[in-house]
Amino acid sequence: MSRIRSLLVAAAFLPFAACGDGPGKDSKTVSLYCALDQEHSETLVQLFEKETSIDVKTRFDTEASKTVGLVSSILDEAQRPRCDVFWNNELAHTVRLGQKGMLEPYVSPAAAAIPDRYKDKDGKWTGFAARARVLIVNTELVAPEEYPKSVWDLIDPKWKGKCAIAKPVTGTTLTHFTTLALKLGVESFARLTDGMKANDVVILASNGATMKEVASGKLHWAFTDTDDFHVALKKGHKVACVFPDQGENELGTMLIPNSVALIRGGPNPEAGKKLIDFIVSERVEAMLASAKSAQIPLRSEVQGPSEKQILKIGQFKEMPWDPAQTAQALASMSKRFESLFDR
Amino acid sequence: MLSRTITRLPLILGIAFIVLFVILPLVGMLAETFWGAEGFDLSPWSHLFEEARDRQAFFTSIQLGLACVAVALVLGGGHAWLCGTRDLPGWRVLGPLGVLPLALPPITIAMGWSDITVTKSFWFCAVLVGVAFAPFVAVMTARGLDTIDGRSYESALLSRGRTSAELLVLRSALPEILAGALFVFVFAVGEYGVPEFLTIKGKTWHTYSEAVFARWTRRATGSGMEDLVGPIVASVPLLVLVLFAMFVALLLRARATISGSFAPLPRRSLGALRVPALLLPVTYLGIGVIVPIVVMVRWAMGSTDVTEPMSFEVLRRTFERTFEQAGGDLRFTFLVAVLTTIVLVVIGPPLARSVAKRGILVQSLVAIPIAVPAVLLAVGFVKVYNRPELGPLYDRTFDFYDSAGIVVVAYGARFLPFAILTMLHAQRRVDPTLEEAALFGERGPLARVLHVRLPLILPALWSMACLVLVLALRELDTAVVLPAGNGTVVRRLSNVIHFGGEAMGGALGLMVFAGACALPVVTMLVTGKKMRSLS
Amino acid sequence: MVSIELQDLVFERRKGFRLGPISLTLGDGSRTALVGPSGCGKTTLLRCLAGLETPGSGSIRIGDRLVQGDGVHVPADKRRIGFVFQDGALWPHKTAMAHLRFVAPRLSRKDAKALLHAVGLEGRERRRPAQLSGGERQRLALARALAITPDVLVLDEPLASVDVHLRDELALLVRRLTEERALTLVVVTHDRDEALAMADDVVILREGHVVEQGAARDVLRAPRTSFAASFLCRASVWPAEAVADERGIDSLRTPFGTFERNGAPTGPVSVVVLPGEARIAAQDATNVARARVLRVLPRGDRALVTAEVAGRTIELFADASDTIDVGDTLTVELLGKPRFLVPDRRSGERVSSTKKNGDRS
Repeated sequence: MSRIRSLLVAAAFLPFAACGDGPGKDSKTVSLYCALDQEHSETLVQLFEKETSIDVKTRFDTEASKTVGLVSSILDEAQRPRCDVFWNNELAHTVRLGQKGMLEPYVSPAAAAIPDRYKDKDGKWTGFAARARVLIVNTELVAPEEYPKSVWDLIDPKWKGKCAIAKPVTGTTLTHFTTLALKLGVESFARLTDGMKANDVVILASNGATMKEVASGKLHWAFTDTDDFHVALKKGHKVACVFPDQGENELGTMLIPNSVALIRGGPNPEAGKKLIDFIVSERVEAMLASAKSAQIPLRSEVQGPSEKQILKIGQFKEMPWDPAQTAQALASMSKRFESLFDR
Repeated sequence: MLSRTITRLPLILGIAFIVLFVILPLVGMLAETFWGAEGFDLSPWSHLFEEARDRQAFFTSIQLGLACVAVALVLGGGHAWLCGTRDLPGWRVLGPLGVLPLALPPITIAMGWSDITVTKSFWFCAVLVGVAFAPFVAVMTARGLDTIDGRSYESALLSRGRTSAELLVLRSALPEILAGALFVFVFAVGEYGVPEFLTIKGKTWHTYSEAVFARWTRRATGSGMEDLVGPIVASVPLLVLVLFAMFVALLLRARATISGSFAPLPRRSLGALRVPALLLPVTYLGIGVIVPIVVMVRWAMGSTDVTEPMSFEVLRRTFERTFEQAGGDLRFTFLVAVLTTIVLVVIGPPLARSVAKRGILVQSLVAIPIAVPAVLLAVGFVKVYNRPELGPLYDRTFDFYDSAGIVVVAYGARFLPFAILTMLHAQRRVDPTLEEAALFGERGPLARVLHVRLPLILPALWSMACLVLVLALRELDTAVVLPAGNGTVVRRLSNVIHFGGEAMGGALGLMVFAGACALPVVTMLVTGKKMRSLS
Repeated sequence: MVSIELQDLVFERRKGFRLGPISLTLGDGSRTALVGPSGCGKTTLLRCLAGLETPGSGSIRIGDRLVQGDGVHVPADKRRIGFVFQDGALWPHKTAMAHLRFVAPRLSRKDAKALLHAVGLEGRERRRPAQLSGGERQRLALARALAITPDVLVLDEPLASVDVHLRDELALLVRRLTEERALTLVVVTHDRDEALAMADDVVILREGHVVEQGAARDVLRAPRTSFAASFLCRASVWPAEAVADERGIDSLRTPFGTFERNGAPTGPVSVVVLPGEARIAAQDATNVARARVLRVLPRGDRALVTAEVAGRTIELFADASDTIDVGDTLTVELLGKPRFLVPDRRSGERVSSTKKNGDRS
């Protein structure tokens, strides 16, 4: 009887006893919220742990919620921050967190060689290893001389119903189209979106999806990110990558760097700074470039991805953009795009 | 005295659980919609259904719910009907297999089918979601048929003929069948994962759950009160809809017959249709289990990688790699699922006893945790259990917020409705005098619980445990928001597939399926019982 | 051996059902049947007595112990009551032996076996309820109730689910065991034969109140209400219409003629004919009524005739040699003076207590 009794009691308290070891207030642990894909970031984190003996507690996002899950968590946890370092695989949401007062300035000495345009002037965030917003083209369906070259190809009747973008309500596509809306101005942007509608541009849920549709030959080309393009290429699909809008009067290709930031009031700021130093280091940029995600290093001296189609910094014309302005407009644009691209 | 205290402990724990882990997070969330930066503010509510697309999405969700119900009735209900009343070849084996689609996360069913066909249409979605939840109809149809007195069928057959007799059977089983259908409706309108996934596949119509989720994504970047509490306000109509369906379902179940002494229904001959009739169970299990499993096996064998041909060698390597990379996640997920099950096994039955004494209105309120979008329930947990005031307590004891404990209780809160509703029905079937009879003796309350009450509800309790275990293994949305939920398998699964890791995704999916099947299958093999007490 | 005393007991349920106020005294060692139609409150009364329901007011004493009332509620397990439920309420997962050993852990295996033997379940120790027949199940329920060596044995419709031919046997068993163990017995039933087979005293309930109470043989011989007469004694009952006869005397009109009220109770009354108080009329009979034959059952050298008189049935005996057929018209003669009874008696008054066991012999 007493055995059953003790079992009953134990069962009742078991969940509470099953406590994980959370990040304590010592410099030996650090809490990282990481929006970069687990498969790519996990090995880097393990390397940091090995080298520094600092235990990293990493929390990843789901792809379905893009970066938003982690950003929401940081906001929801604001009353008692749990995260020390936020590693975002894009920039706008990090900037938005800074605008909401969630970030603690930290200028990492390790990021000195990263050009200033990729760093916050107040030191709230640091950009590194970027992805470019490129066109993925199915080489079996489109001849090289026919390759689309610009965002305006989306409204070229030649491609009616044959090209796609991800729905610009989350992720890099939201950042991209928000920036486009701001840069093109009301009239030009309306011309683009109206034209896209008339041209039956396919709206898919993610850049992974646009990549897959092109790789499988269902579509001729689509906007995607360089990492998605690289995945398709590595799987042996017949695809090519085009950096769009490289002409003299054209906007240039949008480059969206990873970003890392120290969270204000996080439990382990010192360890957090060490982690940031590691993440923005030249070595990590090089590793991210050589990994499956083929990120483009922001330091021109760092070896880029081995795949020649993914251009290095300086080899293409970048679209200049103001992250602060884009971040500010994200919510309203997302809402607007929700109905604008509702197909 | 000690014995009495121990007997009451589960109920006390259960009530404390509801207060701490259901009411507190939900009330906290709801209160937020009324208080903005400038005090009391009702404005977020004025935007409810303001946009035509929201109204359209709400309508679409209801349509999807109804379509899923139709699918579940035809396939799940048809499966149970054929296996329960006809001489279908292999009905003994096929019958219990009707619960199998429940062991697969709906998203894997959708992923599997998307791999081989175009799945973006409304009806395809309805078929996938309908089949994923059809086990509720299958199980409850089986139960409904079990409670029909075969003699009433025979008397109708003698007096009114075959058609009338069949109609009588249908009418008698109808309350249970409809209750099962309403459960399907509840799940289908709340389902987010599958419609979202099909959007990736080019679906262009939207459900209300997706609208709620879109608001949740804006919450991160927005700044106005409307942006911040928008998802909470938007989820209220869904909540009301689900609670209404639940109320009707419970009302119907309460009317269902409870078996007394009776003769079982005679098994009728299908005649020449005996073998062709197998098409229905094959279709049902094909859609819900076989195709997704085959696709996942193919993935694990490397079907999506064009650089190397599919082989068992690849399969072996995939499993090896999966164990290596996700072994920790697998262990964590099973630990959390088992602990969740233990919690609900302890508090479910006493809460069900307590709820059984209340009216159907109160009973349908039990459904709230499952009617609220999981993400929001979990955000409620963050709001309540990450309060700075709790810091000193966490420092002195352990950091509950950052522990597996919060995932266990959040899962517990989310699946509490299943625990209570399963036990509620089991409770109704137990003759109260069996427990009263134990009062006239020299045994204390604890002995009475262990020797009389527990054995009487044990089959239902075990089924409930199986159900909760399966659901906890599949859960994604709640885990996403909680820090310790990071280590769950389904979260990793949904990610690896997106990043081109179909091979590992397939392996993970198969492991979850195997894990989910293990307990019920072992039970069935050991006891030879069917899973009907599941309902 | 204990007595049971109920004082002003009232029990109310939400849906408008009300039991009581009931005051009753059941003598120590008495055997009492609570009888009445379905829904009259007899099971509720039994459950109040056993501690399964808590009455709203009133008190219950068992022996010299107050078990209910004045803020006292002694739980069921402390009342020393053995309860046999309708349908047995046996635990499907326990063997016959385990049933006994569970409620009475101090009962030795040998004693438990002896008890099972006493109720006629020898050799059935290891069987579960599903492996027992209906009668055996009820015997097991009885053994379980007796295992705790109770002062009072309480049975709720104990024979309802038992085959007719086994009922008498079981009833005798109950009588024997209660006598041997000097138990006070309370049995609830809606069946008159069952009541009479097990109990010496009866309490007749109707719509939550006691209509009549007393020794069964007294009630059978001289019921005081037409309800008791019809329910317990199988009497035929006709409402009697109050009229003034040609002389202006207060009279009552019945199917058997008009009689002076003289001595009959005031208010609405019925004329009651107990079995044997009427016969097929002789030629010069008075107090007669016309009857139509509904059924004729041969009974040895006689025939039991069921006939209809003024919309009610009456049973009469005829010689087997008489040629009476269904549909025939007869004249029925009332023997002796007509018996006028009030239809019911609201129990505001205290109903007389039953005799003590010792008084009965």
